Amino acid sequence: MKIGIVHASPKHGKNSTESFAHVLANMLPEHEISHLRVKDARWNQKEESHLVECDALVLCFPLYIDAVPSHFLFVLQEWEIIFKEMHENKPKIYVIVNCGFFEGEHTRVVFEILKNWCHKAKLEWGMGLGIGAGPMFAQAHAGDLNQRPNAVLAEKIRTMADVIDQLETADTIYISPNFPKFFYIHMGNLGWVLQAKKNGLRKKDLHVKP
Amino acid sequence: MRLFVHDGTDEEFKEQFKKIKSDDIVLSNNGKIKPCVGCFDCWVKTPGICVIQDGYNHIAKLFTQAKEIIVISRCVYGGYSPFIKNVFDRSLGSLLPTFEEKDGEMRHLPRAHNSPRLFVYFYGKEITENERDTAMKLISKNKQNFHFSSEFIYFYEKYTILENIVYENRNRTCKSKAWEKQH
Repeated sequence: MKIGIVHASPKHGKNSTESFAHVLANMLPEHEISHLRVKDARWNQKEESHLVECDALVLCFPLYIDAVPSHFLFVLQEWEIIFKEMHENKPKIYVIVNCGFFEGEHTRVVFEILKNWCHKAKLEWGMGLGIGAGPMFAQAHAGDLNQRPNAVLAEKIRTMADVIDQLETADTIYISPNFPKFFYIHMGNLGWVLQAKKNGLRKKDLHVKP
Repeated sequence: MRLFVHDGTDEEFKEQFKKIKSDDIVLSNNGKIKPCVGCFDCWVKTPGICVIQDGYNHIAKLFTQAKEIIVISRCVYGGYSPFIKNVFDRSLGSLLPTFEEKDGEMRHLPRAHNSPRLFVYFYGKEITENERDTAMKLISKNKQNFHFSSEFIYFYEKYTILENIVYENRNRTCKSKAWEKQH
């Protein structure tokens, strides 16, 4: 089976979206996997064959302001036209969205948007995976996937891999870490202050009004 | 100050919205806006100001000063059109990086306490029921996460019939938020 994995984070270099996409790809070793990167509103149209020839298409992107990042939304509109013109052998759509908030449920609306896109593009919806605390998981997963807090993430990505393996349809899964929320918030807030200090700012500068 | 954000051209907007006040600000698509790249510099390097120099780096400032944000957007899959979404993505600096927990969910603190009202006018000929439902959920989520004081959402077939309706709605006493959403 051909599986297309779309990496649609606009960030250059290492990013959470890429990490989760690779974990999924590694769980599907028996399939032919092609990777398509969409970093801005343009995409490499020479890669259209990867898009239309796959049996399953996995869209991976970060949550931006409760929805799809604008550059990828632009591209999805172009892909809607491509898929609408196809009459057979269309890919089934799977979606992984990660966000910096603790609760994976923050991604709930974006799956509805993607289901509406599927409806317009006449594509079949497969499954969604909404990952909360994405940056923490992404940093931690360089370690052992069987250890906390990665075990919960690995289990859910495995579930999605099994669904894709059989080209099935399943309910959306939301992941929040098995980790105290207050500590995540505390560490997150501390992290912003440390990043500001690296840029020569003081803590109170973060609150300045432009 | 009222901030209008629309996805038509400057000319289209001027042609249709002739009752703009002198302190209103209109954000239009000049075709040069660049997408947010998730660098977070608007939080930790130049707080409240985007580092992308394309003429749209002041959006967060406008969001922190507006009393009303009036959005006119083509409805795309139950959300904003790419330009409007780009404006919202680039407004990230209107929030602080600092997290809080409210109503059991994590969110960012506001940079200012202007708490604007959000009016969203979606237009499009083929907006499905599911898309309307999604759009209402999206706007409600935007209200929570941006600390807007209230949100109002309307659906129309065309951008060109909005002008009168915008002003009629704005002068009307709303019976309830749910009623507003349904009309």
